[in-house]
Amino acid sequence: MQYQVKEHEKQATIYLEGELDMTVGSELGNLIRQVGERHETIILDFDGVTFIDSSGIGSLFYATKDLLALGKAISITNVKEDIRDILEVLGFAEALGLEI
Amino acid sequence: MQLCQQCPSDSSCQICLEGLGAGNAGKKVIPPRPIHLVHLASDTRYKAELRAISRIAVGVYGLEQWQAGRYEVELASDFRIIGSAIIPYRDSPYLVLDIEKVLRKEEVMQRLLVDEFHLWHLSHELEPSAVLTDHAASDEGRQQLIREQLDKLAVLQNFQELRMFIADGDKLRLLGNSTQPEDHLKRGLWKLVAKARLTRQNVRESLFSKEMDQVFDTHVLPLPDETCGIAVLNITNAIAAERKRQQAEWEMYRNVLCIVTKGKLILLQDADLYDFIRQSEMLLRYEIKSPADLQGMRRQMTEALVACDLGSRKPLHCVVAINEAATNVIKYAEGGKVELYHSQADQILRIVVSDEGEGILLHDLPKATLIRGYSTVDTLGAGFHVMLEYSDRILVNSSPQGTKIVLEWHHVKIGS
Repeated sequence: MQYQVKEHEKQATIYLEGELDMTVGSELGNLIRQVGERHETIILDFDGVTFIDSSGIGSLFYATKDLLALGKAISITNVKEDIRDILEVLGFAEALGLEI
Repeated sequence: MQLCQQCPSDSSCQICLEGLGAGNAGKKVIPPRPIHLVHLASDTRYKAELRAISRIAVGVYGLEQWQAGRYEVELASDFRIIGSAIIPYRDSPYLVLDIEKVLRKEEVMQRLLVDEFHLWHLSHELEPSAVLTDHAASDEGRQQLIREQLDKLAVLQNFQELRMFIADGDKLRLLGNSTQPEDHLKRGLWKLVAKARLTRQNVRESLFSKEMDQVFDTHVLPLPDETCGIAVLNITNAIAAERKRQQAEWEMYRNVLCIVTKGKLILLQDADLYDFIRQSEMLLRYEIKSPADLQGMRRQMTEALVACDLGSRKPLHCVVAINEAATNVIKYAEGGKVELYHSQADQILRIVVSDEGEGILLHDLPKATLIRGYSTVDTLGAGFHVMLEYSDRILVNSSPQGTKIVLEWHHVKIGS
């Protein structure tokens, strides 16, 4: 799993690339929280994500939930169909009230 | 002479039994039971399979060059056999051990016996012959759920025999209606008396009859006048009733989980799984030890599943489900293996994910499998939910010796 962050004035985009499984650990969640401190709007770009599971999405889920509670705007874009399918089974977007 | 290729499944072959030298008294262990054994002189530890058993000897199959001498066999973490090696077939991986002694760990002795049986609740063994699975009996058990629940109450009535003695010098005085203990038991009693006299403390141990078909919960109490009070409780029937009760409890959990999931989640006995596997062809096997192994496992599984011609979306769904089961193995056990089987006869694709971890406790199973977000580790905890969603059926077998999760996909034909 690799990440790239592009920061603009009020908005930041985190580009995710690779497979999100249990090897991701809390690293991704921490990154999202840090970026969230500096910006009002955070975009998670899933274009490069090729696999996702319940362990890999865990830290992302909880970090996103916290930022939403702080009033930040978060969107997830460029989700491939396969990955959207898995996210749906995981109840990810539904639990966060997001559209993906 | 060598064992047959299907050992011990081939019912027409008796080679593994002949090695025991027990005549007709030997029985095959089906499915073979994974065990550990330690060569006592060199302290070398081996993994092996228990394949045949009798009152006097056990037959063990491993990939090792066996050494002569004595071995300690672990049947469960707290139930062991000491035996001396006979190697019946030269250069064979089959080892026969003459049973010298049955051991149960000291710490187990300290605990209430009922607790002890709880540990074994899915493995059902107390004595070697009970390791054998009786298919007919388990089927019958299923139909008699209610009657077995009633047996719960009968447990206390099953302490059929309490004998009391006073050890006075080197004489054993009988109290009340007590009958003389048989010689083998008597020798055991005197050992406990010696221990109680030496330590001036109460001694409680389980003693076995010579034939190992009776268990006696034995208490020895040193008295101030240098005598010892002895109580010997025959708990053989109580154990059987308790085991039966736990079997009934297991059946009840199985029925409830099956109904709640509309037949998608099934608790499974080891023997049933063994039958499935015997009729299937193994397509792939992958060992997983650390999170880094998951990626390689997914890659190889995807390749194998794509070759199975399941359609365009299915291989990914399968891999997602397999990956969740494999992730649990890494989280809760020290690793395990993932095996892909196909049964042409049933047209079922099966993934068996197994570990040698501590197992899921029976009463935790509904929470672990049905409730989303139930997990002691910081994740979404949706693992079982994902598996249920993406597979046609899940079979679960869990005991203190490990957990096996079987994911099934039905109507899968391979080739033409």
